Amino acid sequence: MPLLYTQNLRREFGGVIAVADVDIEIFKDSITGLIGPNGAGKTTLFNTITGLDFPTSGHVFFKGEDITELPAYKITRSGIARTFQNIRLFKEMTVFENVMIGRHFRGNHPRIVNNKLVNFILGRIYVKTEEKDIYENSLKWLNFFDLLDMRDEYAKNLPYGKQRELEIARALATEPEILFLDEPAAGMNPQETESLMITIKKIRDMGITIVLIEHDMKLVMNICDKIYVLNYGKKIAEGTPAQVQNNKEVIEAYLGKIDE
Amino acid sequence: MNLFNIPSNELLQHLINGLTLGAIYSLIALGYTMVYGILKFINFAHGEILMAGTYAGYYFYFFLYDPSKGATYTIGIFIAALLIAMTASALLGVIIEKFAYKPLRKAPRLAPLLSAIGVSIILANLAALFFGTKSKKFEYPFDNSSMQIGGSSITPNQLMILAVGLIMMAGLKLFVDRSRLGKAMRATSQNQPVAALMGINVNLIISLTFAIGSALAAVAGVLMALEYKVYPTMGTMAGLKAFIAAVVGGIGNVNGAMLGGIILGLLETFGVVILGIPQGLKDTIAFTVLILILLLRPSGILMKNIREKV
Amino acid sequence: MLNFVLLIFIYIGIYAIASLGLNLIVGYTGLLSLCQAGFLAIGAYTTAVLMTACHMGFWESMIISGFLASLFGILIGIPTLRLKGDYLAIATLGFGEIVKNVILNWDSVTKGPMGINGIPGPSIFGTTLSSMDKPEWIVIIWVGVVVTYYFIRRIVRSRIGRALEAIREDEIAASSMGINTAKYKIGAFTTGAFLAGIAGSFFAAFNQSVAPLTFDFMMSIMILCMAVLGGLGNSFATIIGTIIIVLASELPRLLGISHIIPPQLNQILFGFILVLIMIYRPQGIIGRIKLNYAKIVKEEIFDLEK
Repeated sequence: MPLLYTQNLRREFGGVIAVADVDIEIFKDSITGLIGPNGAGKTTLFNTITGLDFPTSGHVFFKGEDITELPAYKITRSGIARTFQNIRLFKEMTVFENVMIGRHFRGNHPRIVNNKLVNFILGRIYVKTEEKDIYENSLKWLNFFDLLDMRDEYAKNLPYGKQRELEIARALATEPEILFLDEPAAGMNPQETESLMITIKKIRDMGITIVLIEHDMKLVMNICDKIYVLNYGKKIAEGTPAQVQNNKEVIEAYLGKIDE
Repeated sequence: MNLFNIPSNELLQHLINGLTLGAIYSLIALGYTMVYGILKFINFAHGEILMAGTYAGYYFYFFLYDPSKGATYTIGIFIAALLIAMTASALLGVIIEKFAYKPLRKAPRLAPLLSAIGVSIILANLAALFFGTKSKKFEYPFDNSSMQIGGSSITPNQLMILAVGLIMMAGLKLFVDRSRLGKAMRATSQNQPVAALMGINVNLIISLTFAIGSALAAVAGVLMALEYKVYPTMGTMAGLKAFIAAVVGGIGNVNGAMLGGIILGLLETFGVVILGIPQGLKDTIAFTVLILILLLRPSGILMKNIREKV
Repeated sequence: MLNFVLLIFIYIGIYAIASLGLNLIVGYTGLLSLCQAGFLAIGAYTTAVLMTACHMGFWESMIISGFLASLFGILIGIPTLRLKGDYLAIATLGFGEIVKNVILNWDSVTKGPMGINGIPGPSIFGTTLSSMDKPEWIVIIWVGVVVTYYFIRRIVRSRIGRALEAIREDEIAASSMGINTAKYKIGAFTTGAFLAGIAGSFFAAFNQSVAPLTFDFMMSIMILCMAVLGGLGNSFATIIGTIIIVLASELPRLLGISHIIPPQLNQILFGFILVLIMIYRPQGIIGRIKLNYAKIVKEEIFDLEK
């Protein structure tokens, strides 16, 4: 059974159909690519799965449970993390703090029920235990992305490529089982993209399933196990990189863009 | 027709009362909605701009008012007073935008809102300082004794409010839908940077929006003043309710503002009659409506449900 | 004269509790609330009614006042806190007006426009304080201010404060980090309401009377000015802002020229403070203090254990 799958997922805005009855299946430990021309509904599909938008009809199942109606924070807590197409870091917070926020809800000590205010006012011992856990775990992710030197910088002051990495670090701090990456290589130079590819594979090898939207075909074709192609909200093809590359409909949709 | 056990003649009466109130709300709501459409910002001082214009019209009318000169003269100076009120409000709206809002266009959302609250407090208190807190009567330019129509009494002023309201709204609709400037206005509200690239003078359009919205509010102010007098805080509550009307219709939507105003006017009138809400708590109706609409349909009746782009 | 200076200190203390609460809502969480006066009114009237009609003591009335105000905070918060900033502002403004209207019209409990008089003072160590015992009042109220200050300090320096900052920065990103943004927003709003309720309770007991028109929109604006003037997101600055605003509004009386200065000038001044601060110094006189949460955890937890 797939780790996550959608059933006839549909999202309409007024009369415009952004996502038209799409079924996708994400298998554990795979890297799945989601491609398609601009405006094909890729980000909308991400949003409806991650709870930032709700589908007009259809369902999303994760680990066998229907998560369609869950709010974003509950979806994240169930093990789904994401990054954003236009980086949404907490710009006025430090690099370290950004990652700490990612770990915010994971620090829950079993004795704390609902983060009661009184525990914080009194500075109870398990609040401290949690804070230590958040601190140390965040350090681990900063180290993974080579961000330790910059940990006290404001997120907005980081170079663009580093901001993208920080966003991934922040998402990983939530300890997801699936990581959704929305155009992770956008705005990166070839070297940065190259190292991103290695990083993504490393993350997958840690046992985190990856779904990514990407326009950089070299990256997509190189690392994805399976690719879904969307056009005008419809799924027009799916399969291995080789299968998709030779699909006539896909080539038409892109008008040869794939050969770049 | 015997809805909620109200005699049919009274029903017509309440309907007219509600529609008149609603027309006034609609006229004011248009200003909120037009400004919101372009700047995504609530012009908190809108009610006070209305008040200031109404005072200008009032003083002009007051100094020239002379019943001995006959009906034509009175109506003439009344129309002139209306135009002066519109001009004064329009100018004030444009000036306020230049000084208090424009420097904050790129600031966080809280900043222009706080600045607008500041402007509204300054205007209301300046008016109290210069014109006194006592309310002033705006003499009717015509004989306002009520007429009996179908068992309900309707005043000529109510008819005038309905007529003027209708003309103003139709005029605005035509302007926004048909004229070149109206088209530029719609383009600016859809996408400001692109509108600027297309050669639209965005600053001019913003000024124009403030001018038109403020002028419409002044019309509502004068119409209100005939019914309820002129006083420094006359615009505050009316402004708040008109804002609610704009939200009910769908803020940023011109048709929505008109519809929302009418709906709110009817709800307030019939709320008192049907639910037996005491007059002192009449204002609570509007705020309850606001909270309900925000809960059930936050983007308003006429707006499509659009979520923030992620 | 000394009496008057003491009176000013008492008012600064009462308003400081309310403005510190508002600063938690506006400054730390980024929600614009315009009904702090409404919560003050709820606190003041609860204390007034409990102490006069129910003959309860001050301290228990004060606690009940705080909790009743925060209960209303939850009630108004649940529907409105899902909204974007400017809608919230109007909804809270509307709520403040509703509170005022209900108090004005609910004659059987609130005595309508007359207000409630003859509220007894709090008893402490067997003696009952009156408005004349100003030094004692100053001590009580300023102890309240200090407790409030440390209460808020604890919140904003904890993980809760970190989450509030994230919500203020980018609510969507915060929610996709697993933060229940609605819960935090309602929590901040309710805590601010609680503090306003406590301030209202002090207000009623000190003045020994309450009147509905005291708690109007202008009072909410005045409290907002206190937080904005000093610097949003900085409790110390909020207290400085409170001192300046109370002094500015009492200055004519202090100089003995109140009879020639019309009351509107005060409010015009508040208006100009808002506009000019927003245009020229949006961070306020002192400005926000950016807390470094990583450093806080390191200093307060790791270093202490060594």
